[in-house]
Amino acid sequence: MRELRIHGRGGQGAVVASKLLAAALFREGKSVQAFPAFGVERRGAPVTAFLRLSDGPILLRCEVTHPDDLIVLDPTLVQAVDVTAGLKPGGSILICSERDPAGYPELAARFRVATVDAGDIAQRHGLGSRTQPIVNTAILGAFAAFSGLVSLESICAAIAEDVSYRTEANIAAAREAAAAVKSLNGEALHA
Amino acid sequence: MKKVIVGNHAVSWGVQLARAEVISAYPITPQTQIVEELSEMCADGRLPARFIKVESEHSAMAACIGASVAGVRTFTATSSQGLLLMHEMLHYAAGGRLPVVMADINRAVAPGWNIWTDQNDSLSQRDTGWIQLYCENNQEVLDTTVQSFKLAEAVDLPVMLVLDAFYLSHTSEPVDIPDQADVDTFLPKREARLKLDVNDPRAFGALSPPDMYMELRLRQQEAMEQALEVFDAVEAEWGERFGRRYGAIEPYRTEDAEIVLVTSGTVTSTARYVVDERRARGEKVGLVKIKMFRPFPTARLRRALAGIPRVAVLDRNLSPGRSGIFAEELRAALYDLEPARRPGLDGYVIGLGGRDVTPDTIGECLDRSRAALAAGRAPEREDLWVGVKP
Amino acid sequence: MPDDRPIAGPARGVSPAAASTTPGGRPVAGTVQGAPRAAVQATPVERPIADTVHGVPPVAVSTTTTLVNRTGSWKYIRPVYQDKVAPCNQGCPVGIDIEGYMNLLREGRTQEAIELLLRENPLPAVTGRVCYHPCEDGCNRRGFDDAVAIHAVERVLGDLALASPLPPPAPRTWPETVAVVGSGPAGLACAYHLARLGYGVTVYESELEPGGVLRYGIPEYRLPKQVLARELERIRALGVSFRCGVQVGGELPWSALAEHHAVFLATGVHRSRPLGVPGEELPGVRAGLDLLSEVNHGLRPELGRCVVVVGGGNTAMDCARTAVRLGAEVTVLYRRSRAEMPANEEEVFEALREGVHFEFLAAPVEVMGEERRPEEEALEAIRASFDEEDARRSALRLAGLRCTRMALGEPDASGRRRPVPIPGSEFLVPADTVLCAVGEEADADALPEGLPRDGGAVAVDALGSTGLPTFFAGGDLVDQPHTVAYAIGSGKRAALGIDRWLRIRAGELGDGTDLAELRYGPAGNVSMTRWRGDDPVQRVAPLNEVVTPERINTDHFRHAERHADRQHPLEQALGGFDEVNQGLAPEEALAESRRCFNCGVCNACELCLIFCHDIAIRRRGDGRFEIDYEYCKGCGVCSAECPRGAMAMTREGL
Repeated sequence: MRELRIHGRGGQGAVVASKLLAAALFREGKSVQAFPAFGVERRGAPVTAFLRLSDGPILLRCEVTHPDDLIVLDPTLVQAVDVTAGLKPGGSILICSERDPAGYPELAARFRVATVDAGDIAQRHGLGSRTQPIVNTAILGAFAAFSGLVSLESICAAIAEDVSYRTEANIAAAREAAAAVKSLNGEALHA
Repeated sequence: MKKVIVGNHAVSWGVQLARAEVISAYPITPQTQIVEELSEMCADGRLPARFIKVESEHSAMAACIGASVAGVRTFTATSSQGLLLMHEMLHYAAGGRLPVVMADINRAVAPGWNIWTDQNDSLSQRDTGWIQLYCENNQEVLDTTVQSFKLAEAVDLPVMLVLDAFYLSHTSEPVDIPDQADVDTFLPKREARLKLDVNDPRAFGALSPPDMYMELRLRQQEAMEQALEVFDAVEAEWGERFGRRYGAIEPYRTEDAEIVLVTSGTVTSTARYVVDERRARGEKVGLVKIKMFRPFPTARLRRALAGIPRVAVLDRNLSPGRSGIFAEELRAALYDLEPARRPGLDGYVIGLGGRDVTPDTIGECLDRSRAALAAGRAPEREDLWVGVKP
Repeated sequence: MPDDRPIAGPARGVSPAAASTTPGGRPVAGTVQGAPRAAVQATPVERPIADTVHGVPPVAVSTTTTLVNRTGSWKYIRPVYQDKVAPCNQGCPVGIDIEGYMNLLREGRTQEAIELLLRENPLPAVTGRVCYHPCEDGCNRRGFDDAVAIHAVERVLGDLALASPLPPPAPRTWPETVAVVGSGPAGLACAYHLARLGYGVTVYESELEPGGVLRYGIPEYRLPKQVLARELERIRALGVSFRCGVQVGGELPWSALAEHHAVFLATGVHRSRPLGVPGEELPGVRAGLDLLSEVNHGLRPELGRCVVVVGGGNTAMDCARTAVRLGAEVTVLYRRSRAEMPANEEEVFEALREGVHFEFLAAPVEVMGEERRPEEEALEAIRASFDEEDARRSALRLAGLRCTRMALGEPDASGRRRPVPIPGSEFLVPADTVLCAVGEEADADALPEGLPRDGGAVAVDALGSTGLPTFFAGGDLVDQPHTVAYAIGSGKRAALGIDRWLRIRAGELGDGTDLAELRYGPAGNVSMTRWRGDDPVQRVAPLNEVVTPERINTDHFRHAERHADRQHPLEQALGGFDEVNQGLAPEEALAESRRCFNCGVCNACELCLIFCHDIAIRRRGDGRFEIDYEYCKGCGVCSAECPRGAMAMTREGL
């Protein structure tokens, strides 16, 4: 079983990202379980969502405390909250950021780090506003390329089925982000 | 068709498949998604039901009662404070022998204000005369929703299906959604045995003096007793058609077990994980899941637990001044066993107000019961709190 | 409480036999008038409850039908259906069943709505445009959001009527003929109704074309001539004949009318009241009515650049807006303040929109001719700013109007505060033309001798009779507001009066007509339909009482915005005499009819039936309701919930 945590801010689509990723993984025959951090959400406040995936049934019904992978939808969260809390040693972090992975030396020393400027991509595809682009679909494309856990095609198919607003733009953003994700030292990508 | 959906929407899909005819509800976290989805289904024609907006949960249940007396299939959903506000009407639905189906999202009761899960809201409605069914995963939620209508209408009693806040209500997982045609065969349109009829007007809920009230209650009790067998039949038919059965209670790896956990709701899932782990290490542990709380499957639980040395009941609830409520019910149920076959019973209070119940929490319960068993000790207290700050 | 007994279960035994103690047959009272009383309900079928165990049914349900419990015996007051009068109907000077046509329109019965309207009003396309709609003043909707735009709905129906085929000639029922003198709204109304009542009617008109004030007084931008022409076609089609270009009392003596059995006088008022100030005889001073007549004859007189209109009534507004269209800069001089202006508020609003300047609390002192220029220097300054038109302009003979400021003193006989001049406050308003619009009066010389008078007006009784045998009168000749609607109403009353008088004279009718019964409400105008006794709208036990706002249960209505008339854009309006108000589209009129509360008249909304918790109200085959008093226990909920005051509670047994 593998566990994932998504960090975002209220309104960026972290919860939807977790659901879309679950749907995409389910298409590939995985057992999945996705849920938000239970509580009250407010626009702009830090939020988290979780995902479990497994080849067999998933029995655990408690919170995820030691994730294998992280997705961070907003670069400002890296400073604002302890995003790596509980992250397993050698775990992966995908950050939505203008910086290269080398721009996060402290993280890169302990974890596998990749970045993608999903904000710019989302904005160019007309997703969200200039001050608050909605990056969730774009970053899932990047996650597919970076993690290899799920194919880009499954991500796009999940978007096509479950995102009714600006579906084509969301798919295009995911595809562009898959090609734009940058890993440290040219680590192999799966796209 | 398989879809990844949240537990709340599994309820909505179930209600749509059951072709409920009148839905009346008032929104409350964490139930809102259920009625949000249902109102959209009604609005866009997927579900040709009458959606009655009301100003409170009390009115929601009252509307369902009125519609149900008129002979149609009715549904509502609520949670916590909303369920408590309904309390008076819950008696009315049950006493009126009306097959209303309701989903309750288990949410702790205020104060302190809390939107997270525990079972005190539904369990405090224990004596209203509703059948109560607790679910473990989203698939079970959808299946139980449809089954509830069949059960309710067969015995003329209301059914409350219960699911944990967030751990089910807001958690997405794959659910197999049956075909409408198959469900239609399983659950035809409601045929009320007794309903409002303008050509034969009668007073429903009429004055019932001392010389008949008791008999009415006796009939209600007999219907409750019937409900267990009817539930089995409903599940058997569902299982034949759709290949899934859950059982009023479900023993899991209890063969030769020395300690058996008794669970309900989503804690069951995590407990299965712990049981599997311990079994892999050679520990003789198992669990019994209680799905049906009312009517209480007393005889079955006796059979399942007779001769087990130690039973550890995990209660995500509390009857203040006494103990966990499932533990309390079990103590009473097991009392009639001959002393040699009567298990020792540890009642653990865990996970109140949404506190996470992890494998470690359950492991600690098991370890404490094992130690007590090894020492031949009776429980220190009837309420053993696990996972609390010192 | 004889019926307060438990009804659950046979143990206490309200046996079905109890029902037989009540006499057979189900008397059903309280039915609405009209259709036959159908049996409400068959004898109830009592089915035993099969599922009885431990001696009880599965739930607390009565083991016998609740019909044995005849709750009707509890009541000491009873509800009745009782239609009343809507305030709009009472407020209409024409006496139109407004509520009635609103309801028909709402139900999609547009043609019937038009016919109901035409029963009372011969000129709906005219009144829909020019009537100042006092009906809307009393509209009960006013206290809820905004009055129903009745005038706009009437206009749409009126226009639809004009687009319909002309009616066949009215059957001639009576041998008598009637002369109508004057073809303004009063004359036309009287002629129309008399023709429909079966009389021969000839209308005499001194102008070359009929219409009176509708043709020569009201400007075309308010009432297009085309609309009037088509309304007249319908009146002609009924068989009314017109003799135009004939001055009765002039070239044709009154005695020439002796061939007719009755005469209706509706010659109107034409003589402008004088200003009563020096200089009034100067050539640039004109009667406002004359200007309106000239323009309506197609002339476009030169008024110069500065026009002053003296007066604050509707004629003043017509003069001002007409002068604006002739290119003048217009000032209206009124001696009181805006609040006291008799002109209709909408007219004042339109005048302001069109750029008319108002001088309130100002009165003329003297009209200044050019040869008498005390403010020579001031005028020179003005003149210096003139363009090349200066030469043409200097041919005009007025310099201006010397005015004084006024203050409001004690109330006068009319109840309005009397304006008094403020000493030393005089000022000059430049004027090339001064238009007098301070009132009109009848030309007494043109009327038959011996007519009883009441001040300046012809004295008449409630049905237009002058007391001088054969002579009836109406319109502006008699003492009533000088509006088109009042004129039409007086014409209708006189038609009714003439019919009644002729029938009494012929010995075919007694003298016992109760006029109060013919009115919509105690103060309303008479209903021709009631006089004829052939109301196509079913009324339930009608009471001639007007529904007050307190009787409306507004809980059952939703707020809905009033549909405002569409107005021509300003630049287009000022470009000529095109109609300014474009009215509503038919679907908007329909929406307005849905805003109507239908005050006092059951429109089968079913709320009584829905709210009756004894299910004692039923809908009959004809769509009306009946109350089963065997079960109605007189709680009054139906009457309280009735949204429109069409029910009442009455004492039982009275």
